[in-house]
Amino acid sequence: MKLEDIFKPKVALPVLTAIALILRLIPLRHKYMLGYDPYFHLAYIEEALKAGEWFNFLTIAGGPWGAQVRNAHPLGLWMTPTYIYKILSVFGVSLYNAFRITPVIFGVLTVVFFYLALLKLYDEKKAFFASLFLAISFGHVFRSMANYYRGDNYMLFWYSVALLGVALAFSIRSKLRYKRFVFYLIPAFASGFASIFWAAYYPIFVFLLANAVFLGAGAFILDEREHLLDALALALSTLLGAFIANSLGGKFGYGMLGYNRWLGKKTAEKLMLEFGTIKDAYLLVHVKYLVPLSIAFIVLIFILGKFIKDKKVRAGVLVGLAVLGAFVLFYRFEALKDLSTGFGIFREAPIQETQPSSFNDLWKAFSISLFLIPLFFLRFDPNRVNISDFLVLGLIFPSLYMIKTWTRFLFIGSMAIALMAGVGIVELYEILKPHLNERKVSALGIGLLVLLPAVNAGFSIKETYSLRPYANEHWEDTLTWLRENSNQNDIVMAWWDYGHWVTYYARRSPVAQGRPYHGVALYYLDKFDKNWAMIFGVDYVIVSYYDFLKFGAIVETAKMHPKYNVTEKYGVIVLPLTSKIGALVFQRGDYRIIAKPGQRWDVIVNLKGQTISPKELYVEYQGKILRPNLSASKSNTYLYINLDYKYAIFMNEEAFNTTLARLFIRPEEPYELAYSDGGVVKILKLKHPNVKVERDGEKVILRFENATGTGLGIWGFLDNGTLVFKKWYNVKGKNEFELPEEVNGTVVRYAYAVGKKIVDRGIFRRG
Amino acid sequence: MPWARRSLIGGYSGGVEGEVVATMLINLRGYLMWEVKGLKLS
Repeated sequence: MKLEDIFKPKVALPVLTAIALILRLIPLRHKYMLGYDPYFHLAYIEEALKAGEWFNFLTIAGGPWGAQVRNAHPLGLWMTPTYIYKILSVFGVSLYNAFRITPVIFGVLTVVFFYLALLKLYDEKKAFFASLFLAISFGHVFRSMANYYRGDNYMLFWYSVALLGVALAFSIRSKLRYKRFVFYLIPAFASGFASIFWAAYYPIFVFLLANAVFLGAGAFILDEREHLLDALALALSTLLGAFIANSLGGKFGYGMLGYNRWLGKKTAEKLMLEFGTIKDAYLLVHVKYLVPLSIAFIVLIFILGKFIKDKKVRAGVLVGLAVLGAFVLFYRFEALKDLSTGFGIFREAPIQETQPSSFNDLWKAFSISLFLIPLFFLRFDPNRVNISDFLVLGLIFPSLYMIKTWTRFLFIGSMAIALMAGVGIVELYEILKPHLNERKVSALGIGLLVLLPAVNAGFSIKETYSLRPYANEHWEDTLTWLRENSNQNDIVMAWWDYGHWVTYYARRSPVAQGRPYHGVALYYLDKFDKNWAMIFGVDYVIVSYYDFLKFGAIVETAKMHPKYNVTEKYGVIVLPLTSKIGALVFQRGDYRIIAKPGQRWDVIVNLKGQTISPKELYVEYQGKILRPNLSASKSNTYLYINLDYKYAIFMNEEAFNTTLARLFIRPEEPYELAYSDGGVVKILKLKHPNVKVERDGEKVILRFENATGTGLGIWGFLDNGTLVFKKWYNVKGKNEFELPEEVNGTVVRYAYAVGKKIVDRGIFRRG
Repeated sequence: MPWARRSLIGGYSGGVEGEVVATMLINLRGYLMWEVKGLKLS
């Protein structure tokens, strides 16, 4: 076999598939899934399979109100792994494993379709290297790998399908003539289908329409008039795609800008749009403004092409039209400039995936390929440039913008980076090749085409291999205990990160999950008290070692509250035990704590050269918390030492007096320690007038513990979220209440009140 | 893992004894991130 044969599709495609597959399967070795989101998705799938239907109203999420899953994502997000499971179960694959490998299937398919598309748009070598860079891009791996399930993967998959459709229409121009336009149905259906897999599928429409516009621009500059028809067909295909998406939305649920979603309503209001046939704010803008504007542009350059023959003048005209188009859009929709930040809703939130990408992020995601992207523009030499180079600019420019905006978009942008790097590196090789002798050509080939991708792959393997799940035995044991020792209708307060685990492991409803909630943050900081918790029906509060690591995020989230002003200066340091010789030494960077146990403990805290002694010391060991006397106490600071897990938390008074620290170190009435693993995760029960829902055959009985309540509010809902029943009952002096037959609805919310004060709340599903 | 939907780890500065800047850290990487963020803010 000659070296060149490697690039033949029959060799290249299996090689690429194997590389993509191996890299994405690396995280499968972990017992737990990565991150938090996958746990919510799997919990809903399990509950839906148990119920035998894709029900909407989930009572084990969004406590105490419940969560309507149609308001989270379209159904395809959960149906896909379920059907994959149904197929693979024939071979004995469990739901857990089918769910864990679903992202790999779509990630690898994305690489395959991307390769097949580039094979038509470029050549074997360029297609191979661009796809290779995508296969080994950690930016792509991190959302298409085993054990981490997110929706972004589907959007890019459908885009790769759409791109293949466009490439097919391009490539068989000579054979089919105008019949080839039928291939533009592929991007139409791909963009339409993308809408039922992920709530934020919109970039596929932006990419395809931008592809059409750049294709038109390329056809104009290169004077390839037939490609103007391709541009027109592609723009129109996105129109059909938008109508398909709109129609599927009614059955599978709309995206995040749907008419029934808060963000959709807000966006429509900002952009002064009105929902009619089209029930999604983005699709409305796409159909009413973006497509007509793009078509007008294509038609205009078609006409101008008859009069302007000089290439330089043509380029000038394009720049002028681009400025004019941008002006028209931003003049009509001034609010568009805030679109990338969701109109500011996530801007201030301390969420890792919605931070702007730093250089460190870019390096981690793309490593060497990042520096190869300028090489792509070698293609724009007048002697080499072709129409495909213009087409792909529609993917490249929006991707570069997205990459810069949020770190989560490093994934979506990975395709454009891979394309630029892969095409660019081959281009450079081919430019230099004629100028070098045979030996130098070999060295160049090895350097550019072997070493660079190999080193890039090395970095990606290292990153992928170093991924660790956040979930562990502590969380699983704690939340499984809660599942087995609490009432089904109990509500749980935990930091939002862990909310999805509460849903999955405990099958109880958390107050916060999936997004930061300033109420919970203010509660942990003792700005909201137990009365606030009772209004939310909280029965259990979870506090953990990890909450102290995330203390900064808790404070920042509390500061997001529109009215509450957090002014305290909290100081918290978590330090690991680094030595036990002679004394206990805890150290982190410049911070060191030395503790000598004895009748009286000697504790010295060294903070960047300044030495102080804490006011109080708490030591947790073998499940007990002791408070030893201190030989000296010279400051208003507090120290908690955990000898079971070998760490210390050093706090100032403000931090020590927060509810979080109190519950973790010295819980008191009305909280009672219900479960502790000795220092990683603890569950506190909030003692309060409580409602326990029990079933006795057909009957539903609400039993009251600490039954001081006087009123019970009952709200009945249909599964689609429609309120169909609402009534307050007098329950003064009663210890139980049988749910009357007059109550309609399959999902029931209740509120237990003493006078007008709500003391418990919850939600349950009947039957 | 990077770029997940999770709270940011790596930083809060407050006052321990008024003048000593405190932070909470998960690991050295988190620490460096905080330092960089702190510098940018100032």
